[in-house]
Amino acid sequence: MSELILEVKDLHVHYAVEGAVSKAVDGVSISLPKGKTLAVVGESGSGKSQTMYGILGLVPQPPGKVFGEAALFDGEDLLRVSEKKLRQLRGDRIAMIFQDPMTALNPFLTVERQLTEVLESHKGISRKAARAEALEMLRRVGIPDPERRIDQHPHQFSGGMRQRVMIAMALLCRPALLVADEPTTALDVTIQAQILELLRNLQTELGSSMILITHDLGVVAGNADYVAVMYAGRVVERGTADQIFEAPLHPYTQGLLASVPRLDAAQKEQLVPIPGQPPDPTQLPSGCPFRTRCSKAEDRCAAAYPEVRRLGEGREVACWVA
Amino acid sequence: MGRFIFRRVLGLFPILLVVFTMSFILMRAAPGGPFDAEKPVPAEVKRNLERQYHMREPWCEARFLPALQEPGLSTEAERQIRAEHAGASRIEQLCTGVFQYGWMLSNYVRGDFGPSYKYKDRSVNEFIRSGLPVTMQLGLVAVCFALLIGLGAGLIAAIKQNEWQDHASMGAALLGISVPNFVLGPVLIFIFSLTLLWLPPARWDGWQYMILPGFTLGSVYAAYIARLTRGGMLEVVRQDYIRTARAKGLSEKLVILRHAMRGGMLPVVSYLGPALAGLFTGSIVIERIFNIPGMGRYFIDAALNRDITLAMAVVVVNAVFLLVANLVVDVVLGLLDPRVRYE
Amino acid sequence: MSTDVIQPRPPLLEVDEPLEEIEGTSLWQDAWRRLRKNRMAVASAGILLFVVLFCVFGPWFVGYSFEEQNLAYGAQGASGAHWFGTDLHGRDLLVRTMYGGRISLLVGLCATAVSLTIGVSYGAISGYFGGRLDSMMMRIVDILYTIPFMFVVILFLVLFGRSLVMLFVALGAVSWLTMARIVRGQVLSLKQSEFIDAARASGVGHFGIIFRHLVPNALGPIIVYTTLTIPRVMLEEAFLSYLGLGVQPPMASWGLLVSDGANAMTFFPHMLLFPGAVLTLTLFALNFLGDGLRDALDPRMRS
Repeated sequence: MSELILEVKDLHVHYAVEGAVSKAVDGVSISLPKGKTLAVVGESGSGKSQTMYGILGLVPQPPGKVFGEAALFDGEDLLRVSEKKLRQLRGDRIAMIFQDPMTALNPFLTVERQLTEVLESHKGISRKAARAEALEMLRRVGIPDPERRIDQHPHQFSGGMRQRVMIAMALLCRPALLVADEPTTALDVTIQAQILELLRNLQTELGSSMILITHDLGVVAGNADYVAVMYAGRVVERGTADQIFEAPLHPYTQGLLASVPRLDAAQKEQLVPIPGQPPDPTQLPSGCPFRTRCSKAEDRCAAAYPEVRRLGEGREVACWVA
Repeated sequence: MGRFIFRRVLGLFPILLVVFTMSFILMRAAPGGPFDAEKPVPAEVKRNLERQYHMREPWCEARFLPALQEPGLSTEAERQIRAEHAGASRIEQLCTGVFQYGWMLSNYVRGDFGPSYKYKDRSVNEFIRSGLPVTMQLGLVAVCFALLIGLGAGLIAAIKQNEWQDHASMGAALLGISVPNFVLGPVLIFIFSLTLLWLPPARWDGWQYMILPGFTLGSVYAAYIARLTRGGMLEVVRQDYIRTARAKGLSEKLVILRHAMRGGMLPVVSYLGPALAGLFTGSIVIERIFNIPGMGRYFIDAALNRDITLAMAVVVVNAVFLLVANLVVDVVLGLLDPRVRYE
Repeated sequence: MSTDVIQPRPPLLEVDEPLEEIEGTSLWQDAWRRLRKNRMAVASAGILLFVVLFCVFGPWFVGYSFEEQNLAYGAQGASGAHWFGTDLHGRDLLVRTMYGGRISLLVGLCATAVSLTIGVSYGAISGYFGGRLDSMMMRIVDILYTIPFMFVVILFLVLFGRSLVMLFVALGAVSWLTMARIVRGQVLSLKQSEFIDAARASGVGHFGIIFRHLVPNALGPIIVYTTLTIPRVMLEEAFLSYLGLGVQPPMASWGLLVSDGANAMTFFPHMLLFPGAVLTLTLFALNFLGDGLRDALDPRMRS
């Protein structure tokens, strides 16, 4: 128990939407050992970001509702802790990096203000001291000429630089858990690799654990120790990165892997996309939500949601057929 | 920033010239002059006075319609001459107009607005000097009311979105927009002055006198500001960077005051420009209702009395203030929104 | 490694089940649905309809004419014979309110129509042609924005006489600026759309594109702003009438009635209350409806 930095059990995040209920997260359980990286993979709308928002208390309630068995962060259940305690943890011990650094940073405030306020709020140090630390962190993440840039505004930075600023902002308090929500999606391909490498290095340096949310399997390979595949608000398969890549069990995972071009694949192998579209979270199909797009679907797939089968430590799959 | 201000200030002058010219043309085109409504004056005296006001220009007369220079012409005879030589008369009038324009412009540039057409022993400058501070005070009080009430109501409505405070605020705001100030004014006088006897109903002799007129004038703008604040804040609160601020663990107070306000205030600041314009216009009516000796009052009286020089001067002074105020608003906008600064 | 540049193309994907037909609704159907759900907006529309009927057909049901004076009677409060009471000249206030409504609404609609025509054309042309023409046209708008228009309008009305048509033109001319800006903004963003390219490719001329393609697609904000302009213009008319510069007696407008009422308020409050209430109610309903339309057409702005 104590080697897990995060253990989530049966988390639900529902939204009231014009008379219907949207089940963005429909019973998710994940876990992450300390110092490791977990990649949460899925299409957009699969609930990967909402899971993290739910854990961190970033879901507005109303119109949302977060409930579940537990969301243990280093032993403490975040679902049952006070709002004040959650706020203390956010930014300090759990930090989040968001997808689009242009919209995620406040355009009206200087970078200095946005960095120092984290330290001021959580560590209670003076602004001058905070500034010095912020400068140091900017240097660490690779911003050139930090003394000048720190007083600029976000729109004066390029996309990659802005993401580095976000990373710096997240790491200022040396968080135990870093959640990176699609950190490279909005960036050029050439910059993506740099940012991922930066994240890996800093994570090792600080000894933090990381959750990497992405829809891009290319990002997962080489950056994650564990993988959780999500579909329609649930985790359909879990395992180590090697297990998932080499022996995917769930038809969805298999479909994902088959639709991604690989360097080691034979040239004539065709890419096979998964037909259809993700379901509307207010109108999920009965039974297994993937069955409408699954080539291996059987009758029992419509009858009930598949039980989760455990195949070893941390290795799970939710499928009748697999 | 300095260059930006400089260029804007430079741009003020052409606009002022346009305003001045428009008013001047209106004035020249209007039938009648300063002497028509009064008891008939001997033709010679009238001519001399007209020359003083530069409504007659001997040079032009000599050049285009020399018949007018006959000594001892009666007004009737003059009219005859003009009717007979219609074409030349028009050119002569144009010529006189140009001279008058130049004369008035040079006076205006020196800050001299000329004599009042109606009160011939008083200069327009006197009126402006006495009326301007009063109107400015009134405007200031109105703006204070508008900002305090508007920002407050708007913030509350945004924070308590969809709860009763929101509906109440926005309902009151809608009412504020729908009730004309010349209805609100008398009603307030009725309630607070005549019935409750708490506040004085008219004139401008102390701070108590400023409350009712200031509030009446400012109420419409308070309503708009409340709506804009609410809208702006709601829009901002939906932004990603607010989620980031919360994810950083900042207190809700910091999130609202430091992160949300900056963006949320922008529509309000932008609105202040046109609001100030409306404030001046509104003061015309308010000063009338509450019998306040300000510029708005002078203006409407001047317009109705055909005291053209006074009316013109008020328009130009008003334009100056409006332009300067708009400039200040733009500068403030630039300070608040760094994205604008670097364009 | 194959030296073929062109590879044989893989067969198209076989799909077992046809993809589910997603039924779309048009922007207008969505907006209409949202508007209908907004009960207050619907109520406002109802109130407006009632007011219009009241003003247009009401006088037939009331016995008095709007100018019939009864000086001996003077101003009287509400009574069975005169539901709104009478004014200082003994004229029935109910009928005068109805007639006044006709004038005020007429002025509101016509002046708004003037402002709409000028504003939409100006903004659409400016936005469509862009470049230096656009900069210049917008500079003019900026300049006009800062000129104290009301003052000039007042001078105009005083010096050149007060007719109803003059009122329409003057008020319309004052309010087209914001409409122009809004339309220009819409045109600027719509200009790049593909359907415009398609229209151009099929040989539609500039003005055809502007008025048959761009403007109809910008109708949303135009409608919203128009609904909000009407009450503003009516307020401005009331303002001018209050100063004695608008509608002249014996004709009535709500502004005139309120002006008389405000003057006589201390002794005859009903003279202010009744027309004032009707005016406020109408403006309130118009503003509410405008808000409702705006919310319906742009769901992001909704609470």
